[in-house]
Amino acid sequence: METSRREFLDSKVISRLGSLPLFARRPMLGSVSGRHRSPHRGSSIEFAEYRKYVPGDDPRRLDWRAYGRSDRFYVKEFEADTNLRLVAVLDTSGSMKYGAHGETKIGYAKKILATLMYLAGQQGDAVGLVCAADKLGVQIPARRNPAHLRAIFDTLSEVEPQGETGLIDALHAVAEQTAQRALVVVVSDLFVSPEDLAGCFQHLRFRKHDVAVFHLLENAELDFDFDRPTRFVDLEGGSSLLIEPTAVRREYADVLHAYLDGLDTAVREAAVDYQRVCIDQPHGDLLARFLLGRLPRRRGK
Amino acid sequence: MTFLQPWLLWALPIAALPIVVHLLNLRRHKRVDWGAMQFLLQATRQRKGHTRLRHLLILASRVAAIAALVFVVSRPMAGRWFGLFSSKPETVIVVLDRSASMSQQDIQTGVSKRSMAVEQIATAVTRTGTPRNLVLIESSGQPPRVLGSPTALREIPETGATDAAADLPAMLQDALEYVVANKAGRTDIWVCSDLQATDWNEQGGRWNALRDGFRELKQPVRFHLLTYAEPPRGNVAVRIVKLRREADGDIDRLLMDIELSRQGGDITETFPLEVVVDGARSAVDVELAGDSMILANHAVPIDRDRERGWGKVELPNDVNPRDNVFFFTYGDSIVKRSIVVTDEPGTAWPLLLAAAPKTQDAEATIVSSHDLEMVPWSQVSLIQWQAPLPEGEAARHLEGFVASGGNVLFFPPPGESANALFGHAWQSWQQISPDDDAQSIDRWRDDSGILAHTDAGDPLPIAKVVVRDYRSIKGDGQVLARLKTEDPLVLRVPTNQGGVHFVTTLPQHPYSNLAREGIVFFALVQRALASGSERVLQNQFGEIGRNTQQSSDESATWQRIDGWLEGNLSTEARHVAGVYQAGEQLIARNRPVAEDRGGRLSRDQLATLFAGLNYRVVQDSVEGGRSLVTEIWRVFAMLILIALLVEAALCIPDVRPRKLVPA
Repeated sequence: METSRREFLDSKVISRLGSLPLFARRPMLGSVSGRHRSPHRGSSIEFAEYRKYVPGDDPRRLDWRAYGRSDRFYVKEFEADTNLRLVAVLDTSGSMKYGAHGETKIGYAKKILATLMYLAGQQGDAVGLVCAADKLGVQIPARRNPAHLRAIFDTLSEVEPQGETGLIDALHAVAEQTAQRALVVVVSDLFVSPEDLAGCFQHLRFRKHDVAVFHLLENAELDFDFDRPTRFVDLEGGSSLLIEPTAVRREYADVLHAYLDGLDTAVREAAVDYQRVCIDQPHGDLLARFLLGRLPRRRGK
Repeated sequence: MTFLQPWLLWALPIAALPIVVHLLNLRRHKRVDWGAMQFLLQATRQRKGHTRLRHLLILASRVAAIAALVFVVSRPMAGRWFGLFSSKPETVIVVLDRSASMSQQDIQTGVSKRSMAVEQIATAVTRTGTPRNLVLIESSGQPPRVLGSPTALREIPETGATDAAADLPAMLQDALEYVVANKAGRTDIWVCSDLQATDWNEQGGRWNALRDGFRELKQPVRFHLLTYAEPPRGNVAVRIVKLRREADGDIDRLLMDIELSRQGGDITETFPLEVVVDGARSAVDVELAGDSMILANHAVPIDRDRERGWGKVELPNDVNPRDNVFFFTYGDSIVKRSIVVTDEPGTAWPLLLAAAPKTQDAEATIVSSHDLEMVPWSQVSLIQWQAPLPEGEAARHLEGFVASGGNVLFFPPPGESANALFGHAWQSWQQISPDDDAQSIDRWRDDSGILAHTDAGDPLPIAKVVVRDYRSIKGDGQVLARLKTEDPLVLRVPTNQGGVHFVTTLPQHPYSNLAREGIVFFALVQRALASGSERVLQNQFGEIGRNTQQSSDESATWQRIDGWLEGNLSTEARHVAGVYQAGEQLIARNRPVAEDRGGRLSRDQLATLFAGLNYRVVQDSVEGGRSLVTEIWRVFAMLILIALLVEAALCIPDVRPRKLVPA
């Protein structure tokens, strides 16, 4: 593995996050045993419930203590643990090239996804990758072997942002084409209409996918702190615009606020795990918060 | 608006500097690859009109600030009304009313309307830059005088006070002629006057021609009417309306009717009136109740042995000191002198007889047309000229005589002569047959002139006049009597002063029966003599400018005895009230009676007089003293301040949008 091609993998971050499991917030339907809850009953050590014995049940699963107390037959059931499918959706539109202080959005996105996928792979989960540009480009289905992960990293290192975004189509495609429940992690600047995005999230939710979104923003996009006349050239290949930034700062802020408010509504209604990220913050801290936030809550004893 | 440093206006293009900087700034913009283009597009769509307007306002403010700065350093000047000095004229003509009423002064400062007007004009012209031609036309009748600098207005005697009336139409006519004759270019005419109605002679027939003349000028002419129309409140004027010498026992007395008139105010006041006769001063209190009163037959004893003398009546000073004094002279009874100029003394007896009948104090002398140097022009009332029309020196004498108020009757000479005088020349002799009805007079003017009805309304027996030989005349005079042959018998030449008449026949047989019938001819000569005598009588207490007996050359030799004349400016003596000595003769000069009358032209009347002309009325007052033109750099400094404040307000950056904290 060449170092230059895996620069999005930071061993320090990985080692720091190694003790934090990646959990899905919803039950997953995995093919093998794993760390994640399954909608089915299984043989884990986690007690689920008592059920009345019905003929055909294995008599070995009868709880004799309960019989002794109540003179009735009960079967003790346990949670099933399974693995998950992590489908990473990477926005590779031209706007992801933006970065004011050396770090670009696409580079930051690769770090997040590579680290998450690595962690998922380590805990036996299957990972896949979808790159969303103006047309649906890379689509790597989720698998759980290390060679697959390596292939994904190779793809990640090669992918370059260009053209207009195809995020909406990509998310709808993921929702449709991912057969079983999956953890869909979207990393994008989300420069699409919040209404369209809300439709995608609802679609994913309907398909019982657990959706996590990393919304990447740059400080300059939030502050719009330009003083001199500036020609803004659209990274997605559109036209350019020569303006006096100070003259439109207020309107820009209004438009941005309206957009973010719409986005907040969309993610809240679709129960999306939404992370608004400034790309100047360390991605290790971000992922730590993300993983901690997803730890299942202990039931009270 | 004009500028003291107009060359600095070449720096005005610097005002475009903000625009240039703005364009350069646009060219050196930085380039940013931008992802969130959708927000920018929406923001600029919302902001487009407002932003452009704001940018334009900011640029306009900066341009205005720099332009105003250039104006400030150029030291702009403006009158009380912007546009008063909107551009510098090539010629400035100052038409100055120096009449007695312009001597009305501010009682506190002693500054008169005339001196205030002169000061205002001099200051204004100095500040706005001396024009190529600065011309003074003043009311004493002198020809237009070109001045070297505006300060001369304050120094020359021609802007000093006079006691004469002003003839504004004539002064404006002079201005028009100057503009036409000198190709004056863009001209400003400053008319300084107190708008006294008699000076402006609104009803006179010259205004139409004046207006037309100025309208037809190719060069632009602007009138600035600097008016001092405030009435002289409480001003009292004194004047002698009648003066006679009377023997009373062992002494003689002067009996005088003294008139006091007042403008404004009708309260009863007592004025101490001083009468000075030959240096002896006496006082009398006069009570004035209304607008005017006459102190009749005020007697002042004089020395019987004294043949002639002079005196004056005086009032205490008020707002117009010039009308508080009235001068007079007295002497023996006045003899009406006439001269008959003829080269054939034997035929001149009817002329002598008609001019000096035995019953009157009149003298008539025959003088040859070659001996005119013997004529005492100043003492003569009438000249009957029955000789070829003169030319050269003699013609100038006659014209001067008429201009000073004398009367001339021209009778046809026997010989042929092509000379012309007063625009008229004798033609050939004509004879009318005795049987011809055309010998009588066809029509004549009986309402005015020397053939008018008598004071009692009785007509002269002109119908009885029979003319056999007459001489036709070439000229455009006013025909007072016309023969049935349509040729004139008596013709009057219009003149400003004095009188000139041509009689186309001789009074004796066989030319006509004028001498034999007598009445018509006698009346004709006596009326001309009486009219000419007025100027001699004027010496008693004559009005300046009216039937002035003495020409300017003669008045230059006058010696001042008393009066307003300052120093030895004898050229001004004709226009300044006082008592003068001319040889053995005493002459009194006073302001015209019209100067004591208060009527002023209204704004509407002014508008009528200057209708169709580019004029502006500037009202000033002796108390005001505000300059006509001032530096107005402060206005532009204020403009700079305002422009910079506006620019600063527009450049205040919008409140920074709150930072969006990542969720």
